[in-house]
Amino acid sequence: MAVLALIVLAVLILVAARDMWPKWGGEQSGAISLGPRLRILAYSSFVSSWGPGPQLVELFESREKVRVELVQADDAGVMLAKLEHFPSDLVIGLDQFGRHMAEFKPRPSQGQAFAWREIATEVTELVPKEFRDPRFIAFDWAPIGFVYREGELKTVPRSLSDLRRPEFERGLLLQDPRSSSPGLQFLFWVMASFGERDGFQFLRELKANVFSVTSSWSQAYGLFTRGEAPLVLSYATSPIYHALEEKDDRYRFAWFDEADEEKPHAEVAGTTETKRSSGASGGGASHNKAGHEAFHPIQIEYAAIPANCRACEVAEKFLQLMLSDEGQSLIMRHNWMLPVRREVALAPGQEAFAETFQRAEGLKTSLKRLESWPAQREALLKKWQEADL
Amino acid sequence: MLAKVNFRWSLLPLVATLLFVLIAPYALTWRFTSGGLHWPEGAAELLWRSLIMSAGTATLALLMGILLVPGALRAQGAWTWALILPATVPALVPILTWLDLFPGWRGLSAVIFVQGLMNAGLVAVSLARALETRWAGAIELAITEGATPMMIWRRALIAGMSGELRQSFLFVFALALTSFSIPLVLGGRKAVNFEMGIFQALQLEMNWSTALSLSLLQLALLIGLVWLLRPRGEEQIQTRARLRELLGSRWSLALGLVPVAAMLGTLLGRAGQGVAQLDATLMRELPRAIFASSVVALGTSLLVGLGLGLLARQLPSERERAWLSAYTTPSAVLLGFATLAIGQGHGFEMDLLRMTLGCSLMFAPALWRWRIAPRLAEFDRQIEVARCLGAKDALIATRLITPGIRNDLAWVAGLAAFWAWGDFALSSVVAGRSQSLALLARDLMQAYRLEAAALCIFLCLLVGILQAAVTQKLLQRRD
Repeated sequence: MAVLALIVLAVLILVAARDMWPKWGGEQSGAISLGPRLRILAYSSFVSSWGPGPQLVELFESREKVRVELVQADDAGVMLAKLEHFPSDLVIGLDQFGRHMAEFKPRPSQGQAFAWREIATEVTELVPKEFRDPRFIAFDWAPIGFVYREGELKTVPRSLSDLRRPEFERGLLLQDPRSSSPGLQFLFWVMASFGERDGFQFLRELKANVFSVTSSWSQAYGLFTRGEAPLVLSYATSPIYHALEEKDDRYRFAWFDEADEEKPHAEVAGTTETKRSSGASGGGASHNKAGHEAFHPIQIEYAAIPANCRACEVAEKFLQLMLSDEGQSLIMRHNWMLPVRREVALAPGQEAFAETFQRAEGLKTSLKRLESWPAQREALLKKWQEADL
Repeated sequence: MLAKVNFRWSLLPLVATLLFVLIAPYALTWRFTSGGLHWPEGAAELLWRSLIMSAGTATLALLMGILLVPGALRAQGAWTWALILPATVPALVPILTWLDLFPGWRGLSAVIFVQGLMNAGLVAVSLARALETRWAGAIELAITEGATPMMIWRRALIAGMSGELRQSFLFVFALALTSFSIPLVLGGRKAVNFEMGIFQALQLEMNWSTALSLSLLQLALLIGLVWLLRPRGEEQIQTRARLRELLGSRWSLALGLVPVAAMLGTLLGRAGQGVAQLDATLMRELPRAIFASSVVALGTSLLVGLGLGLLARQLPSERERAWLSAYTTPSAVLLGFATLAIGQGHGFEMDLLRMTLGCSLMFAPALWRWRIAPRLAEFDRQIEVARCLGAKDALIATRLITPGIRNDLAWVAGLAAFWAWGDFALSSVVAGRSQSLALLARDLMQAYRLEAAALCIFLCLLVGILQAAVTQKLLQRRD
């Protein structure tokens, strides 16, 4: 009887709440019809109520009279596997490593990689040249480095080498490169700065200063905001969140403007990187004796249209919205990343972003240096695991 | 004999369905593989590390559990639940507590310590329950005749309960073998197990063949272990008496409650700060998330309770029970993708349905291994006698098994509901949006609102416990 009562109770709850389902499920209540439906696959923080996804979708649906289905996926691996199962018209949120996977990794059930549509030039032209690609549309970006609170450090680190100083003992919060995108960027950052052999040696020496290596950015950041350690690996845009949302101006990004001296040729996972940018560097970047400039890794986020899309033109329109002033502003304020379009970041009223954007712009000269990283991910991670740090 | 055979044949569709349910997650995952199975290069090392981590965890849990048995005997009602709580909460809770208390302590030792401590109370309660069921009468008599508590502990607990000790070891070993979040967060590179290998195969290499191979290897390992450690023809003595006054200890109980107090303290502190981060968006999202989580939890508890009840009614033999105890579903990600094969699209209802099915499949094997299989073993002698007296299996199932395990089914249904509240590993794969409260907590963490996330996790625990208690109360036998 009790089982029956529970079943009846469950059915009653479901029926009673039926009217609320469309609203709760994020589907439209009927005002919008009914042309082609656009299915978008995006990472969870983009889709969440605090992310830019829901507002972009609302805007797009009201303008284009198209129904949008926004589906979340955790990371690039899961996203691409989901794409296999639920063919989508647009994929949002691949970083450089995810993009490499999307371009070159064989599909789970087939031998060849995913195919991606070449996107109309009126869309790609909205993207600044340094980020431009015919198939992968960059929509936001941010340098990665260390965030601290003003007043908690005697001296602010100005280079990776500084992080080894005794004053930062048990003061660093890092992330596991296997499970965290900033963690992976940090590993490559070290290898590109010092070379592979010296890079691993650097990580060994850094060990005494590491408070914790967490599996995700949010865990590390949680420890940081609770004051467990004074430095956390995060985005250059993190302080903007605290300033705008919490009215707390103590948070700062440590811009590294001193080049690391140790290694003239940075070898990453067996590949010698000989080509070095020696152009003008922003953010007060300096060069070491070998002519290397100080740099930060940059995380770029991309959107792309699968070749088997059904609402392909509609997907391109959505990309246009993402790159419009309005879309870029929404992404900037809800994703807490820098917009790719300069004029949006420097628009009046966006001073908090403008300052970081201008400083970060100087780092774009190091973009070439980052290009080879994704292809070396698996090899470097294997070596990192074997290094037994 | 003929009646028995006819009875089994009549239930063939049910048995076939069950078999299908057990095989389906693996079969559906096969779709994603391109070239069949593929053993990763480091499979032997992964196996070795998995064994060390799981055996270490199970040994520590057993040692701590034995120390806490007097406390578990002393505990009643809610206190028993409090002892079990660390083993049942979402992994994030002990992780946060550990990071709060020992932020710098990571590695294999940290993983073994956390998982061992989490499961010690559970082992203690299981051992205490078995002690009361099987040895209470003899212990009462021994104490009356002048035996000292030390003699009783040595003879009854250590020597007389080897079957229960093996079962507990096996249960914790299996939990540690299939755990993911704790080794990932606290373990570093050395503390890896199969789940971590599966995660790496999928996330880093998108290699489904390797992931499925590791899942099958994990399953084979569990099967081997179950056969190695299964109780062999131990006499089941049916006595019931309270050992609380004779052997119970307040000190041991207090010791057992330390991990719970630490967890609740950490979580309450964080949740308190989270109130300040309650914004309009969160207030709008909370009712939906709570509703969705309660529906998934209710569905999961019903499916798990009914499924395990139907399975128990088949009167599985000792051998069949051992096979079922060895079964484990593939990792959450693989199971999630297998569940995606059901239906099309990502509507609200479809998400909840998939989450319910996935959670039920994920939790049922552990609950069977933990509670139902050992309980059914207690009926072996009675079933044998009933059959000798000519009772049909249908009659035995209705008159003996169903009422006999009713409270256990209520208990596992309640626990399944509680676990469903805290799941985000499977739900994040299955759901098209962050429908549940646990997923909402994850979203908040990614959006810098870390204290609000702690508040959501606290709510998950609180409402989950409430729903588990109500489910258990509604389903349990009243006599």
